Amino acid sequence: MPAEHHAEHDDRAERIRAIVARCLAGETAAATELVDTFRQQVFGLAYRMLGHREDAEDVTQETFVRALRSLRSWDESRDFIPWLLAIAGNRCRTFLASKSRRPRFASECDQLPDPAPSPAAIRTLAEEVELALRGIRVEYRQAFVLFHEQELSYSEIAQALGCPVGTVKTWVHRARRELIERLRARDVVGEHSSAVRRI
Amino acid sequence: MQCEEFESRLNDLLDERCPLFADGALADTALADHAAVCSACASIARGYETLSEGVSSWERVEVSADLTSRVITQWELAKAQSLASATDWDSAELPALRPVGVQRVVPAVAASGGRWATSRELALAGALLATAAALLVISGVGRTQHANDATTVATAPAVGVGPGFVAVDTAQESSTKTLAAAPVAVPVGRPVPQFTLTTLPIVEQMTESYRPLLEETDRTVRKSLGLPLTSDSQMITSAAAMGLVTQPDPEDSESSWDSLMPDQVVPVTNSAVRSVVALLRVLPGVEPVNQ
Repeated sequence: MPAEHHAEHDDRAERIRAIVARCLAGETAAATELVDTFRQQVFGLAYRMLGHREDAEDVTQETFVRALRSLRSWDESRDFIPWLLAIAGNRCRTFLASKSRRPRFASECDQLPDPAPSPAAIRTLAEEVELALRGIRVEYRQAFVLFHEQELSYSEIAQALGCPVGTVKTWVHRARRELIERLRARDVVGEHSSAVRRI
Repeated sequence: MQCEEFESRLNDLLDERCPLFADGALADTALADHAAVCSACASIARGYETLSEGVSSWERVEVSADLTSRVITQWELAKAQSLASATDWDSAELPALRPVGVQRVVPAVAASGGRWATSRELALAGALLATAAALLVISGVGRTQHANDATTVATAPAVGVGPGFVAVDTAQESSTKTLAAAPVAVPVGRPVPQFTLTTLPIVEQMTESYRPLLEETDRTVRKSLGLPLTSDSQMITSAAAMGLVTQPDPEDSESSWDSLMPDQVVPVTNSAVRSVVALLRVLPGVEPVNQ
């Protein structure tokens, strides 16, 4: 990492530590600042993990409330974002697990349209990748999103997922392979691709 | 380059966040040379290219503008609960309550005569207390007193029943709060963790044995607050009365669960929370949290 990036990283870390200290003192303005700073990042992960806007907002809200309540357990010597995204990831996984075993009422399902496009309605490559993403294992999905969309380093992802860097790499690689297979199964590969055809 | 190295090299480049393609062709010379003579690997490269294009074309989805305020409101509730549980109830100055309308709350639970009450009795006691709490809260926030409002506090749930509420949360996941079909009795006199007016999604409370109690509480509160009686997706009720005694999630490493924290709930107001907590002090037979 270049020296200026180190300095920038240190400044940001120091700023976060200061905000956290004020949160721990019960300062509402600090809590607001903390949420405002990271809410889009947490929501972005939740949205890709769950594929549903309202669910992602619920999980985002729950993540921040839990984070604010658990700030004392954050180790200041470590990066804040992986810690926060670990909570978000846990909430997403728990949400998905509970959703899969929760009985749903037909009337409720009728009243709450899922904004995620159906496979038949997908028109863009971005939607195709989103659809494929919903089909792969949750840990692959989380690792893939954290690396490719959130642009966390493998080390940061390992912190967030609580597993070795090597495992994270394996998950990301498998995610890529499975996504490509799913895109291929829907005849997407080649349709959108242009570069390789010109090799 | 051998075929088995091809995909590994593609992954390495992506891991290093290097562009795979430049000017319409594979940027890495070795990869490009191999893809030119190996259709299988060229197909693999097309897959990676498609995937990369797809991810880079993802649109940013903006979170709702009011999310921060919702988080802060819930956090403030948690702080209020924490404060309430730490209060020295013998010396604390409690907000003045102007009880109204609670004569409608008839203590229908008979004395059980023992140390244990049945789950239905406890559930009913909880619902009744919730109604009383709601009405007291209403008075506490300065609403106009109706002509037919009573002026005395109703009797607390019968002696022997006490404020023991029903622990029925069988789910390890707090956000689902799946209620057990058969509530479990708890010892009489068990402290009420908190007594908080909240709103909860109806669909998550669909235990048949509880629903009538919840609906009654919801109707009473809505009527008293002048809210529409038509049901929406939220039900106004009391967490404790519904038996939302949460259990620690063993997989939940970031939360200590040292206090009741209704998730996915929205407090009516913080003053309502404080007033309801104060109710524990004024109703005979009801024990505050920390005793």
